[in-house]
Amino acid sequence: MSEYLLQPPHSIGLSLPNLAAHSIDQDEIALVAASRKGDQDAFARLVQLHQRRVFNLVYRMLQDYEEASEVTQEAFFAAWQGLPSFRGDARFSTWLYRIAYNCCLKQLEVRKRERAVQVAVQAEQTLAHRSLEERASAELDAQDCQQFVRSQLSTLPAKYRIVLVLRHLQDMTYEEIAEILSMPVGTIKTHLFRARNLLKERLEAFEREWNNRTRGV
Amino acid sequence: MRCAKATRQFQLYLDHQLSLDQIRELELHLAVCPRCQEEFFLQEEVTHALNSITPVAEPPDLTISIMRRVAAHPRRMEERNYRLLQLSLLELCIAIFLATLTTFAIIIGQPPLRQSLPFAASLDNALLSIMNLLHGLLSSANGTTVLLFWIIGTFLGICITLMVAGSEMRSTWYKAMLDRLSML
Repeated sequence: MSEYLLQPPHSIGLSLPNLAAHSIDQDEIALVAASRKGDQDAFARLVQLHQRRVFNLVYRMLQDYEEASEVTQEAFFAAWQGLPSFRGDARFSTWLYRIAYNCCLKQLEVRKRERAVQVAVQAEQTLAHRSLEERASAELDAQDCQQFVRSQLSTLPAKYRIVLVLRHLQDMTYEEIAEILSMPVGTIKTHLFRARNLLKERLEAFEREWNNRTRGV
Repeated sequence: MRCAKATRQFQLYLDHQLSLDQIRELELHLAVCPRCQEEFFLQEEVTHALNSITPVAEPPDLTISIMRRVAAHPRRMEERNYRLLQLSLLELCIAIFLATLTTFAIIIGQPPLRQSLPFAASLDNALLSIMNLLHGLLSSANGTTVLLFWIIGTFLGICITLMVAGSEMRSTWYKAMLDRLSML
């Protein structure tokens, strides 16, 4: 047997998972290039690759399944329309998430305007102004802190909600989040810190209320 | 380690962003500080709750709906319209003001140039004495004064450039600056 074959294989600088990721990236680049030229089949493949993550991002931002479906369609359509101007400086997914986030912000803005003219707004305001303790008591029966934190996520300001969704649901790094939101990494860290702190404070109040209640009983 | 520093590092710890030394330092602090321990457990609980969010399934006909929309609307092939100057009135005014200020400072430094100003004759004594004082400072300047004037001039130059560049360029510049500063 050749001596060369007994040598450990030379590394080409890519681990196996990286190699797979590299191949996926190459596929994606080819699909993006074809889509830019107007190939709808290639774009359909891109949609299939990314729709779940985009839909989940939108759904967590809007907390409405039907609306999320509509906004996801809008985001992909905007991506299709904007593809000729996509220069490839960032990854396609980063660019796509940025579009999806902007669509969410637009939808939240529309929602805010619509609510302003609705008569039902008063009832909602009453609901919103209900004290945290009251809400906590109502949810205490569930005895589920995790459920409480998840429910509170939807009440956070959009800028805090998006960093939590990208970090925890999409499992992104600080750098990736910064790229998507076009913000410095330092700002992302601050937003994450404040968002988690808000949730922590609410959880603290919730647990305090729960303890008081159990002591009362 | 102080409690304030420890609290700031919780999220970095939970996101695996701390170095081994920092982890050790934080864990040592947590071992002896019950208040931080309590705070940390709450943060951990929040993080666990957020990590436990499971993805929801998208509508089964999502791809078809998207592609139907794509097929129904042909892509707009319009060229991006670049405009050389996109200054707002405020930006323009600030740039003009700063440029005037800089030019004025240069003229003050050159008395013959000052004499050529159309309103040189009508300058009152107070303004003239200020100009002479500044001129005196510039002409008999030592190294530190020259450096100071140079810094002020450079700063004004940067401000004018940023004003003329427009808000888009300014925010890109600001982001790049913060990114570099955060790396220090």
